[in-house]
Amino acid sequence: MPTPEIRTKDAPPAGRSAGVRIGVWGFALPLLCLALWYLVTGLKLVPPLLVPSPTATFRRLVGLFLHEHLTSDIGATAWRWGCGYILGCLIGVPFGLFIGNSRKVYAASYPTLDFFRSLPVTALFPLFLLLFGIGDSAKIAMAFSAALFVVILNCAYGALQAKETRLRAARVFGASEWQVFRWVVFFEALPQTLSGMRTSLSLCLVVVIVSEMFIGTQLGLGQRVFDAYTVNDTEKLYAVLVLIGLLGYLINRGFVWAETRIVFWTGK
Amino acid sequence: MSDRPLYIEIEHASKAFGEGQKRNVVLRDFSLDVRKGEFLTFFGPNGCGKTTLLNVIVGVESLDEGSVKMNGGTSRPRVGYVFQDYRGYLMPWLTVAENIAFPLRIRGVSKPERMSKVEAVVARFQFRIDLGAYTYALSGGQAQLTSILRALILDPDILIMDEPFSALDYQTNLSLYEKVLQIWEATGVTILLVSHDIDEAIYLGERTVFLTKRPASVAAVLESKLPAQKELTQMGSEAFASMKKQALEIFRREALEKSA
Ligand SMILES: Nc1ncnc2c1ncn2[C@@H]1O[C@H](COP(=O)(O)OP(=O)(O)OP(=O)(O)O)[C@@H](O)[C@H]1O
Ligand SMILES: [Mg+2]
Repeated sequence: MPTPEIRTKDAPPAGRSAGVRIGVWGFALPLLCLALWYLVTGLKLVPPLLVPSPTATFRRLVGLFLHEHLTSDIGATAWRWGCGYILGCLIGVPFGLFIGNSRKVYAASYPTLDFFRSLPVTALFPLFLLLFGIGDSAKIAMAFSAALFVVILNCAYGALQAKETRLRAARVFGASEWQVFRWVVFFEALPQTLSGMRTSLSLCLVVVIVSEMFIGTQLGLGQRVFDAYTVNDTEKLYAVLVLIGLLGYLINRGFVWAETRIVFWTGK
Repeated sequence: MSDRPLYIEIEHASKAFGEGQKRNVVLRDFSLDVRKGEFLTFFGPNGCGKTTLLNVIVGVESLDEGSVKMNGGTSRPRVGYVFQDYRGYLMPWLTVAENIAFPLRIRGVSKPERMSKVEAVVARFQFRIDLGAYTYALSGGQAQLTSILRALILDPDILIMDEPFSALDYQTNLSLYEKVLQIWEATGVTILLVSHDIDEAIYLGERTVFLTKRPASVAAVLESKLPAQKELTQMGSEAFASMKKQALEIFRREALEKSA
């Protein structure tokens, strides 16, 4: 008695789309901010020395690219950012998953990790200077530390939250502990893992910029911000800040784009 | 039937969850023998401990007292398990095909081989199911069917089914009864099936075990009076009606005993 189709009592669950669409409205607020910026500077409500006009800022930004090797600064900052971030993820993800895989290990290490996560790495820059000197390695190490703890904690939490039912299903079908980890825990933790990686991506950029400002360097966006500040060149200051903001925003958007495709099943 | 060897021996099994005030005794002094190749159904009130009993049998839940021995304690049998909360036990990041093939993946079977086995088991059941779909997009019934096929993919020695047909419509149920019986006859697999539907329980089982309220113990065991060769029309037979009457007797006795 072949049944042509399975009839069921309940309908498929109405899934909510995981990612919120930005759409046209997402551009309304930035445009409003820009308009406000024009207004405030155009009506001379604040002295131009404190807030330069958008036109001057963007003109200056183009000038920085053309005459003041800004591309090399971006490159130098991106290199430190990328190195610190990638190292942090390479070590943090497996370590975090391992910690979250066992309730006992998680309970034993959580307070310590939370303590280190709560320490502002930027406040520890003297320590990094002592340990790594004034070169790139200190800045990379700072970015690495910032990424590391955020990634570890997120991965550990994600693994800890793995659904007991799915772990049980795998065990019933004969999975070893490693297979349970590889085929279930890893995927259960993946949404939280990526969310941690996204958070630490922005955090890492901030840390690299600040470390460049504090420690000093030849090339780097933080150094340009610092230069501008010391000579009261607010146009340049704003130009670099706008660039940093745009850079962080674009990378984050790219990450979100990839994330919703990788963990396509969340929120469904 | 008694010529078949003993397969599962549950002896004085006791199990409680929680401690102190919250201690919840789920199994108390539960004993039952299952023979190899037997089709056993369980029927009992909500929350009495049926799922816990099945989990104890397959060893994902441990006992406080007593023991469960399989196959004389010699080898670990292959288990196929259809979980009650079928959706919670499927992997949302895998397609239907990969969910069904999950037990094979654990055994290191290559992808092409997995897929051909999946196709074979689907063909055997003659169900139309979208193998490429993801499980979050399935209806409850399709998810349950995925879960059933996953349990069958390994040619299990023991097939555990915890209310496997609850989300399927009546017509699909009837067709699955036939399929399950067919598989049981062809392979000699031992089947333990929990059901909330008395007709289902006494139609399918060679024996139906009636459980008491929590903590679960055996209230009565009803031997099937149906002919060995089962047909759906037997649900309207004299023998079926008399079994159902016996079952009602058992309920009434249980209910009176508990309230007395
Ligand atoms: N992991 C657990 N931790 C604590 N209590 C549990 C656990 N699993 C089951 N229980 C409790 O044990 C009792 C029996 O649960 P079980 O799921 O075995 O009942 P059941 O007969 O399968 O119920 P149903 O008819 O709803 O399927 C319930 O009171 C339940 O709350
Ligand atoms: Mg149950």
